[in-house]
Parts: sequence; structure tokens; C-alpha cells
Amino acid sequence: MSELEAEIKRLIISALKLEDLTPDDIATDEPLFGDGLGLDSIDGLEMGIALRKAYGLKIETANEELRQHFATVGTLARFVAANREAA
Amino acid sequence: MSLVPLAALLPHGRPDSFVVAQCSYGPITLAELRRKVAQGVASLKAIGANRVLLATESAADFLAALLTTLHAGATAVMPPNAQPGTLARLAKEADILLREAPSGDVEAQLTALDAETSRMEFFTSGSTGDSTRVEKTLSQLEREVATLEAVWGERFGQAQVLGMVSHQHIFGLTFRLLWPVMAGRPFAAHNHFAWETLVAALHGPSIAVVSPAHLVRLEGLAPVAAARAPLAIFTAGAPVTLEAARRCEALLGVLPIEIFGSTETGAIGWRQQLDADTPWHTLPGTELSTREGGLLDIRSPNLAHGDVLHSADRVAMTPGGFRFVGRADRIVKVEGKRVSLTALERDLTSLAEVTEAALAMRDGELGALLVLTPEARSSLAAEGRFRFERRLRRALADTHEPSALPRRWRFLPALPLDPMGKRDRLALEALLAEAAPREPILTALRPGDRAVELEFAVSGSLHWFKGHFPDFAILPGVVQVHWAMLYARRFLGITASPGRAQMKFRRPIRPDECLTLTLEVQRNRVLFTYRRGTEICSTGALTLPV
Repeated sequence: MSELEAEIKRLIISALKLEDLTPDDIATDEPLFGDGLGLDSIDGLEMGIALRKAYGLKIETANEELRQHFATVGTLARFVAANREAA
Repeated sequence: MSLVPLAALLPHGRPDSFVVAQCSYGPITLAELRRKVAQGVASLKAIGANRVLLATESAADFLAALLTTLHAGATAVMPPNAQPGTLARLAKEADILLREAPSGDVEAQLTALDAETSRMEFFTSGSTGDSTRVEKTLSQLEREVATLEAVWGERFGQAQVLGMVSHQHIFGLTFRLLWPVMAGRPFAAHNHFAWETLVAALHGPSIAVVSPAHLVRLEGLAPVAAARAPLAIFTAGAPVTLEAARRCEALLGVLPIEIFGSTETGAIGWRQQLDADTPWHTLPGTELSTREGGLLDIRSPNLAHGDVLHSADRVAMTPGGFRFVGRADRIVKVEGKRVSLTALERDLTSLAEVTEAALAMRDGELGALLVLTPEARSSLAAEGRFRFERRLRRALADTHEPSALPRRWRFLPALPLDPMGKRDRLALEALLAEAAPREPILTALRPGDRAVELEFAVSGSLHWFKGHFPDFAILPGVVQVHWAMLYARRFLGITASPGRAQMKFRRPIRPDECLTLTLEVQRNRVLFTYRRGTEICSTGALTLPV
């Protein structure tokens, strides 16, 4: 698990108050929504806020692309790495 | 551009090249829409459909399916959500379920609809817990759109309409679909799920129709350049905080226009929050009054002719409008969706894992407080809280929309009851507020002569179980003394602070046990005994200053 993936897992856990989960409980390729982790659209909005705040993501994109980026922790990590504000 | 009634849209409403909607594959023109509908009408008539259930992903498909239904002379049935169980239940009393636009391509003339006899059925949460059927004619919806256009239309021109709410609900249907199509504004067929994608679609003059769930989650978004700012943002379904309204103005350039209404009445009021106490303005044509208890009575052209709707909304009238005070029944708004607490409690209780269920709102979030079966308690321990919660949510997802389900979950050994033996609403809310409460759950209270007996449960999530012997959590003696004093004050009217406490332990108190505490005043002492069943856990005495 890369450092960014682990960081995103911790971000999801804190943003969604999933107190009893640890980063190891979320598989990097587990679907975040639907039958995987079971997040819903409101969780998606909360994650959006957390990601914008943590990485200064200033992106505009099409619906379908964003869905694909939010599919798993792995896809999200690649998306964040490509779009995060230069430190 | 003048308003064209939906009833006349396909026969002679607009030029053939008029763009009705923007789909993922490109624009759809009026001529294309007419050809789809003509094919669909022929198919529905061939099977003699009288009732058609509509549930589509795309708003453009929905418009085609709706017009097909109405032009075929059938009633359009709008499911309250598109969860599989809901559709299966409603499909039983419909002749066909349409999930997309008819695919055909037939040239045919269509005659204008009779808006007074073109019928639609909606469902909404009723106060009894059962979903209530709301029938509307097309003319009611057309009158509502005429009001909206008269109030706001002039400054919108031919702006595109973007959405973040489902077209399957009355607000989305009216604002994202019917109003644009009647006013000659193209609408986006697909909903946006994130602000990032909606902002990316702000090309040229735009109007956004969004949910309160989105509006309160704008934080961190990059401000949109003034030239691209939408002309207006409409929202409905739940209160928007003043903070969210101001953030919307700062980031997107306009204060949101909040719409007040319901499935039954459509839009009847609106406001833009300038301060925390901004009242709602009544929309033209609607007449409001209050009956006993401050409950709102509504007369509106959006209702069937001459009808008065006696709502369960408590309001205070103001000049030209009203302030919303609250609901008089057990209906709450969760992320803008109307939820019957009665129905959801019933559905939670019917789950195999659950023996008792209560629901309460805290900080705008819906919470479930559940007592589990012993088997389910073991699963909870094995799976962990989060996965167990999501499993319960999935069990309800057949008939409930996920976003309208509880966000906070508490698994308790018992539900708190007030001294009258009824659900203690304040205690329920307090349990939702704190993940690790400091007081036990009171379930019964028996006052005696200078004495009292309490029944209570100690939840495993109690703050006091943390830290002490991680592998063998017990309730510390100092907490038992503290509770004895707390309840002696609360129920026996003791005001002095005890000078000294003595205590004997017989048996440890463990998580999730149900216990009795007896308190008795003897001269200057309060004697206390903690029992589990007939077994004594501890006894002690608090000595009061003389």
C-alpha cells in the first residue's frame, strides 16, 4: 500500500467518522460505493469536501470521469497524485 | 419566449429543431422527441396499458416516457424512489414499467393532450407511516410552472438548466424538466453528483437546481468566475443553513433561492436568506392561513380546483408570507427527503437482527437506536460496527433510498424510557449526540417513601468502560458512587454534597448488563444497592453533612 493510499484511507475514515475501521480494513481495490464498502451519495459529498481541503483539488471534470476516479482507494490515489496542488 | 403548455408541446408547441435537452450523446430536438413518443404511444396502445410506471436514469428519457404515457391516454405512476423492491411492489399495479425512452422512430401526428384529464400519481411519506398516493392532473403542474415563470422567467432567457436532484421527485420534475421544457430552455438530461462536474458544465447562461444535501457541502470548492456564475440556484426539501447560503453566494455568485412546498402542493413559497430569520414569501396565486395549533392551510392553483390542503406544517404568519416552525407529526426531512419515522422504525424492527428500534434526529442527522438479538450482538462484535451498520442499511435498501437512511447508529442493551414508561425522546437524542455517553440508560423509575428504585442498562459504549482492564471491562466503583449521588439529587431531592462514601463490592458490573439501583434516605445517609436480577453487585452509603 502506497503512502498516499494509506493517507486516503485515513481521510475516508475520519471524514465519514467510521471510528471502528482501520486503514487495513479497507482494501485498496475494494469498490467504495454500492456493494463494496457500501458508501452512498452523501458519503461521496463528504469525501469531496475532505479531499478538497486536504489536497487543494481544484478540478472541473465530466460526470463519468469523476465516478471512475472515485471507484476505489487505488483510483482515487492516482487521481489525487495527478491533480493535487503543488506543495 | 412564451410559455407553451406541455399538453401542446408535441403537436404544435415549438419548431422541430428546438433543442429540448442535452444528453450524453448530444442534443435531442423536438422532432426526435416526437418520433420517440409516437412509437411509444403505438406500443402502449397495442398492449392496452392504463397505468405506466416511470423510472428512468435520464431526465430526457423521462420526458419521452411521460409524454408517451399521457399521449397514450394512460396514467403516469411516479415511484417514490427507484430501489428494486419499490419498483417491484408498484409494478404489480401497473401494466408496464418504462425504464428508458421508447427507441422507435415513427413519424406521426399527435393531437394536443387534455391537461385536465391527463393524470399522474406521486407517492410521499404519510403521517401514518404508509406511503400516500397523491394524484395530480397535468393542468395542476402547468399552472405551477406558469407561476414560476411569471416570478422568475423574464431574467432567465434561454439559459440551460442543470440539475443535482432527481427528476423522479416533484421538485426535480417541475424545476429541472417541466418548467424548462415549457419555457423553451434546454435542460441537461443527466444529474450531477458533485459540484466539480456541475461547475465544469457552466457554459453560457445557466440555472442550477440542487439539493440541500449538496448546498451544505460546498466547502473547499474553488470560487467560480463571475462571468460563469449561474443566473440562479434553486433548492428545496430541507432548510439550508445561513452559513451554507452565504458560502454559496461567495463561491457560486448567487444566494440560493429556497422553495417551500410538498408533493401535494408543489411550490407555494420561496426565500433567499439574508439573515437567519428571513421569512418565506408566498408565491402569487397561493393563499395561506393557519388553523388551530398554528398549522398551515393551503389554497393554491397547484391543487385541484377549490381544494384546501390541511398540512402538518406549523408556521407563524408574517406580512406576505410565513416562518416555518416545525412539523406536527413524525415526518422529518433527511437530506431533503421526507422520511416517516413511524414507517422506518417499523421496517427496522422487522429486520431479523433487531428486537427494538427507535429513531431520532440530532444535529440534522437521522440516528437509529437499536436493541439487537443475542445472535446479532455476536455478529456485530465479529464484523465491527461499520460493516454491520452497512449490512443493516443494505437490508433496507430494497425499499429505502440510501441517503434517507440513518447516519448514526447506536446499539444498546435497552431503549431509554421516561418515568411514564414512554420512549424518552430527549434521552434518545442525547445518546445520538455522544458516542461514549457518561450516564446509563434509564428504563424504569419506581418512587417509594424517601426511596426510589431505578432500572437501567449500562451500554458497552459507556465512557467509563474504556481504559479499565481492556480485556475485562467493569464499571468502576467511583462511577457507581457518582451515579448514586446523581440520582439521589435528581429523584430524592437531596441538595447537599456527601461528605463521605463507603462501598462494598460483591460482583463486577459488566458492559451491556441491565441493573437495578435502589436508593433510600436514612437520617443523614443515602443507602444504595446495585443489583443484577436478585444478585447484589454492590452496596454502599453516602453520608450527608449534618
